[in-house]
Amino acid sequence: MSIYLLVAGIALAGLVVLPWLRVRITHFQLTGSHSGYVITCTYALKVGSNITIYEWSTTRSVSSDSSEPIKVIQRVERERAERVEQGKKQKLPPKFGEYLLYLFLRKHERDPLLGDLEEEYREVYAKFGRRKAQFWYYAQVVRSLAPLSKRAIQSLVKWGIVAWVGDVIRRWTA
Amino acid sequence: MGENTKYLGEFEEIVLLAVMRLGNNAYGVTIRQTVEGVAERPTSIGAIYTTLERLEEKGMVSSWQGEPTEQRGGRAKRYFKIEGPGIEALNDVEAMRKRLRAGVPGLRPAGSGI
Repeated sequence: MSIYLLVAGIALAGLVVLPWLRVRITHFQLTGSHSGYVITCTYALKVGSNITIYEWSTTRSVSSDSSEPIKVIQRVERERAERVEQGKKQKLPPKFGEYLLYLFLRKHERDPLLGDLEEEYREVYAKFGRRKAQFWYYAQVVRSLAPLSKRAIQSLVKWGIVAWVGDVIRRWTA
Repeated sequence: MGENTKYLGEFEEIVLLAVMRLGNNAYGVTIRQTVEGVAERPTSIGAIYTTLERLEEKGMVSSWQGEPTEQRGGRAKRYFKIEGPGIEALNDVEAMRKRLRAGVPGLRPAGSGI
């Protein structure tokens, strides 16, 4: 029984971690010689962009007419662009938090309220970093959900009573 | 304005005073900061907006859209301004408070501070 639980646990952990696993080039050197090139690459197996699980290096000699150095350079450039893009995304407030508020906000309130939260989020981000800023954002979302959901319930009750009264009148007059 | 719409809740009064205090710079962030900083009342942006909506329905505040800015992800600010019925309601609350407190032993007169 316990072995099945262990396998299931490892499988579950794998499913959670697997989408975040990346092999990145952390160091790259291209040396030219009269007979061709020497490519020295250091790779890292990472979870997300911060946690390194394993690191290894390779050195390869390739002939001067090989397209491999160009491919490696293209890959390094692509990874750098991905990191820049990811950095830009990280500075934005958490999408799930915004979505939770979207469920309760009226259309005319969405832009100003979410804009206010984003303005403060950027201040907290600049002072304390991403994790604390995200925690701050979710704390604000949770605190805001109480009055917003209360308003939604009050509105539902109000319109429910109106519908009920309308139904009673309709039955009487039928 | 109907009789039942001129009454103010305690939090509504605080938000109205914050809007009045901020003048032309009254929007979500500054109102929340004033309520927390000056009135020392912890609150959320959701509570501020639901209260401002009630006050707007009562005709005590009006609002208008500002310019979208990069700092806010391209979203516009919504500025608020106190209107005549709002000022009247604040004065009524203060007068009522003075009448109720007058002559009650053990209380400082209203508006005398701490």
